[in-house]
Amino acid sequence: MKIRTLFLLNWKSFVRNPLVEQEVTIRFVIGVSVISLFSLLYILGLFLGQWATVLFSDEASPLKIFVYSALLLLAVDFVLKFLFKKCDNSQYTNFLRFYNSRKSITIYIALMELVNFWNYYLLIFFFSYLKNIIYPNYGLLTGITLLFALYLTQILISYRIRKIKSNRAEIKFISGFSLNLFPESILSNYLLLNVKMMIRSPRLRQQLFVYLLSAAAYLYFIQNKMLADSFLIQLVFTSFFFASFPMLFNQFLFSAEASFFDYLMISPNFNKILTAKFILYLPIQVFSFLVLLIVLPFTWEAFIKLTAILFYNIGVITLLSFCCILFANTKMDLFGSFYKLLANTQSLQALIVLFVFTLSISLVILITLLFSSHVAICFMMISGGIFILFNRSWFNYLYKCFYPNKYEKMEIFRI
Amino acid sequence: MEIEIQNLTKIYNKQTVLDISDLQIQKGELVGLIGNNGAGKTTLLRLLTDLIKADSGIVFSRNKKINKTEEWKLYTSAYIDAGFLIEFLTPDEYFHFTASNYKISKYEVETILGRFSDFMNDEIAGKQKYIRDFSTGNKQKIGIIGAIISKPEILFLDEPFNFLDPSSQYFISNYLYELNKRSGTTMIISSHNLECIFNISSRILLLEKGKIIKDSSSVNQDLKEELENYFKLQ
Repeated sequence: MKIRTLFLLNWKSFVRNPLVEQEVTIRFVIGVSVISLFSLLYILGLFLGQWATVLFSDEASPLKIFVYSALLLLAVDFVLKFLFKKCDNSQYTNFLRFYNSRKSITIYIALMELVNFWNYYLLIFFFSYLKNIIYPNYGLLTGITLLFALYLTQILISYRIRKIKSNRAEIKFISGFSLNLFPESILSNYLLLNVKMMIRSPRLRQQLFVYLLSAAAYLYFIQNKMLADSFLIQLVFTSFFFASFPMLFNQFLFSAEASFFDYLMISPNFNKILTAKFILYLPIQVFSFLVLLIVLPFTWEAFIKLTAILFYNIGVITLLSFCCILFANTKMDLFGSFYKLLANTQSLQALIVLFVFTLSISLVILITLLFSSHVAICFMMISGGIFILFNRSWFNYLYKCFYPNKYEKMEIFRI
Repeated sequence: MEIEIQNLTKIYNKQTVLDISDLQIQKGELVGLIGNNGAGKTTLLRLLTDLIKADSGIVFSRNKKINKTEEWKLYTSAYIDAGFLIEFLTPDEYFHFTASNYKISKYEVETILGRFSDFMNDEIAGKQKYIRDFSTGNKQKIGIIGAIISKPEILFLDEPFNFLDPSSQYFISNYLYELNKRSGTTMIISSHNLECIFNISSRILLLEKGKIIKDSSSVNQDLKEELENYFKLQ
């Protein structure tokens, strides 16, 4: 099997994909994001010398600064690649039956790695430092050697990650996550089904990781006095802290269940899945609230403010975000690559969730600006409370809207 | 009347793939659905379970339109393809999850699973492995057991004998026959395995290009020969 055949097959699988338009759009968006990211990395790299004085002593040589920072970032690179880099060898399994294909596949993968952005983003970051500091002090040869060494190390890390991931290609049963409980209540069962899906799907686990990262970032920034003092800033950031978990997962609502949607649609009480998801989000939001109560200095005013934001997030934002089931038009591959996750996600669903968040928060901001923060707090408390009380009616209504259009959605889910 | 079809049609790409003017299935019938590839068997089963939209016509389950109510889901079960499997669950989790949807107790689940011990051949129950990691044959078995475990009064199975080894085919055909006799479960089973379908069916429907061209409740040697001629097996 020739290497160019593999390139040709890859090209054909791309252009003949029934969702090619969507894929082109996604690739375009990813391309723009990568260019922006590279620009940002280049700019950040310009300040490496200044940052290094914070991390290392003032007397540290530029070479030492480069080596230490490179080692630190390569360690981060390893973690990032492990979590996010697509390393799916299974797509080549079918080609292994062709004569002399193993060697061609290895070369093909190696060639693809050479141009993979995962393997040169650190070069962009270090480029200015190498050009402005290393080259004038140590000469061109040292600069180029370090650049090449960095590139090679990144490729070796990618190779290692690919090896690790292919060794665990078959999803092993994790006994710690077996959750071998068989509750008899229908709601508990749907709740457990969601937890299992979240834990067992690598794609959803990545969302969980994103949530934990953003939660940690929020908890770090909450110590900022400006954030604590300004009601509006606190409203936006704290709402995001409370709502990010449901928002991250609701953007895949029904798209994640698409692979077994036929089964769900003939099951009685299927609509309970919405209530189960809501119940799953609830303790996480309440837990986030309790964490804030511990982290922030306690005053009754802060307590009432946080309670109002919590009510509004649980009630209004979370419940409204369930609307995205009406726009669920793609099947998410629970076990596919991260790229597939992007390509298969109906961006409209994510947009609806974001729109709900923005609109709901804007409304509170408007009330605050027109009246006062006290009125806004009352509004959040009352509207949140009403939504929570009538959540069942809301889910029934949404399901009623979804049901007549289920056929066309199921057709798409079967692709 | 368990199931009734009136003027049911399904059109794909301007081609009518199913056209049944009238069909009635009585309680306790075990209907064998046969026909060549593309005859419309799976389409019919999907329409009977309201998984695709009919271009015209109505399906009634116990005199209620299936696309208007959801009551039929309480007493109906089906296994059509892998879309009925929840691949990130273990078989035990899948069986219990399904059973809980129909309010079947854990004890009953264990009892039913006990009856399938030979069929599962120590390869399914108790295995701490996700369904997605099972072989196609074992996935088929999990799907069939999952459909039966809910103790349905109406059961639809699409080609249940596919991917199964001969002893499993023999087991499941006997089990379905016994279940039908014992519990009076109404069944519609599509298959290419004429031998199995003949052994268990009380009624045979032969589909050709979406139309029922033979509907016989006398499942006897004459019918078998007639169908063998149709399928050019003689």
